[in-house]
Amino acid sequence: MADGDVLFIAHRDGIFRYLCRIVGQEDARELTQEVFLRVTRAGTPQTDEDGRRAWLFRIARNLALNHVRDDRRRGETVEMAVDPAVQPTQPLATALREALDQLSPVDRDVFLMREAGGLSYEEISFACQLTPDAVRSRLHRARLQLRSVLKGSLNGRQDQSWR
Amino acid sequence: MTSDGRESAEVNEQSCQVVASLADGERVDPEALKRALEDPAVREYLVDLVALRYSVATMSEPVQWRERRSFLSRVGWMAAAAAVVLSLTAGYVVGQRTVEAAPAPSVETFVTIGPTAAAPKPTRVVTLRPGVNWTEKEGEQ
Repeated sequence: MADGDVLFIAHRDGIFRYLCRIVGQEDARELTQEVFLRVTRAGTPQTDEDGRRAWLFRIARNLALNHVRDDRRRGETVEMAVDPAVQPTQPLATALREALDQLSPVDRDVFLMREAGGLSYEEISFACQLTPDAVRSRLHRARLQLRSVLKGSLNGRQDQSWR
Repeated sequence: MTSDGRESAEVNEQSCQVVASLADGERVDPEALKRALEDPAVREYLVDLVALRYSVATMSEPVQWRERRSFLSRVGWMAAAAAVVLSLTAGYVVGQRTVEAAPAPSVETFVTIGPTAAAPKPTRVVTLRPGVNWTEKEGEQ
């Protein structure tokens, strides 16, 4: 199996989850495939698995930034709503999407790479071109902000889960 | 805020980062973790952090990669198209270079003189006579 295929199978879901929360589900699917098309064209860097994952997320982040920028130029808004037929009512998910929109783009990327992509601080620092300390700091700030916005919803979730 | 309050907030933030590092699978100093977990606010932060993570994980349905085949086929088609374009371009370039590199055709005239070749017969015969002035004058031929 080619390197690109191995990477696709190993990281497609993480990349998709990350992109999904930035550009929406439909565009995330396209962009995820675009990430791996670029990998196929450019070849895989000679590094360890963590380095490859960080490299993939860096590509994904750049694609997402370009996508959002292009949408803004066209005057389109990024629609992040999920098909209601698929997910009937998820107030927490909606609140979370709105809260994520309130974060700065870099804080949001750092947070999503950690929570949706499962990247380590070191990997995030490579993908976002930040120092590990900056990653730690931004992640903490993003969590505090999200926690503050979602306080009621998170408590509801906890009550629901742990009863 | 008093200086004690600021100090407390800093300690709290450091403690929050310690438990966040633990939750994120990063390296944590056990003593610092122990101190951090003694603070009820930090424990609450850890609980919220876990809840937040759970919320992010369940924000949307897991994607079904039904387009895996189409992805590969897209890659295949693009590779085939790239190969065709590459071959055409390479053919064109090689053709151009061949034309440029070839020397201009030279035109050479070969005169074959066979062993039987003979000079044409004279149309006028001038006999050389000693003492005759050969300078042409008007009226003479």
